[in-house]
Amino acid sequence: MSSQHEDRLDRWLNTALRQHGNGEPRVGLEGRVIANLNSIQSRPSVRERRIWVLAASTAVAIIAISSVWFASQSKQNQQRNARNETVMHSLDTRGSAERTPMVSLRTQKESGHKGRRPTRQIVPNGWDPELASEPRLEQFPSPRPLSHEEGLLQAFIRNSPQQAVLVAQAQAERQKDLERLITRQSSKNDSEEKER
Amino acid sequence: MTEAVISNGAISLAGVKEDGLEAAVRDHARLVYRIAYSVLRNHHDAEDATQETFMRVLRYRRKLEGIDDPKTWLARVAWRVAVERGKKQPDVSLNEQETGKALSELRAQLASAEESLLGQEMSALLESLISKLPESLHDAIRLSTVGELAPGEIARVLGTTESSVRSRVFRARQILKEKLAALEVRK
Repeated sequence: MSSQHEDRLDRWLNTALRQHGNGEPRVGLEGRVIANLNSIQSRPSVRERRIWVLAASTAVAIIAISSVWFASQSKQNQQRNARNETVMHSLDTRGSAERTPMVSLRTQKESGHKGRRPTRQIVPNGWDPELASEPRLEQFPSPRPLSHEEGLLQAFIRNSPQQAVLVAQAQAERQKDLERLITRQSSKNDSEEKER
Repeated sequence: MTEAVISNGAISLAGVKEDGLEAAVRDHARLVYRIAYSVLRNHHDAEDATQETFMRVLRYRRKLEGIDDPKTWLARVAWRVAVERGKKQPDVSLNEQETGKALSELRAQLASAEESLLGQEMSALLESLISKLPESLHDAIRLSTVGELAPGEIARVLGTTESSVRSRVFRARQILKEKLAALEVRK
């Protein structure tokens, strides 16, 4: 490459590089950048938005959980109250506090345990409040009133015990005779069958 | 007034209010744009990169304690933004017809003593030659084409010394001249 040609190429490269880097912006670049910055500053940042979204969702979750919990609690209380009323009714009819199958809320309140959580009521399996409402009997099987014949017999024994004893003995002997006769007859039948 | 706000000694961009930021935009938006354009070679992309550069300034203004040289600092931010965006762009390549047109333009311009405007094909050919240079060289020569940056400022943007920048620019120009001469002779 001759020095003259190199100088020309050098000058041309200077000009070319100057023009190459001469990128002029469209008019109003500064205004557009400032407007964009202002709009960004007026908007809440992504972080702030995230915090608000997180706070709102947490609040909604807390409200939902607490409402569900309160609903279930009130339902349980209603069921418990209904059961207690039934039990209290049965206890009233029985009139005995010692045989109480469960501790009621009312009795707890009366006994002065204020502020304590009521103990959980344990209801035995197969326990029927209707059956519990019937008075419990002292003797099993339950005594029944005597029939007419039994009454007459009781009166006879009470009035003439000696005759009753004699009658009973005669009755027993007769019973024995009958049993003997039955056994004799049955053995006789057996022997006849064997002979045949 | 704005120049005083921005470049008067150790300015604290962290404490700069909106007026200060606006002043920085007014004073340095053109420089930021030209740096972006030197890399991206597209007006639309260069403007987007300018917007992004000032958005970064806005985002980090509270973290920055003090900036000694806001012009160079902004140039550095703009350079990084442009290079990040430029990585996503396809490489410049010319077909045979475009190359032929560019070379005939080059020959005509070299033959003529007058300074003439660079055509589209010739500009694309030059960009293609610059982009094929080693990274350290094409960074230096691109920033040197932005007329508003002195070699010392280019050195601060690239994180090197001024003499290194001068040396890189000189080497880059030598390589470009050799390639252009070879192309001129070939056709």
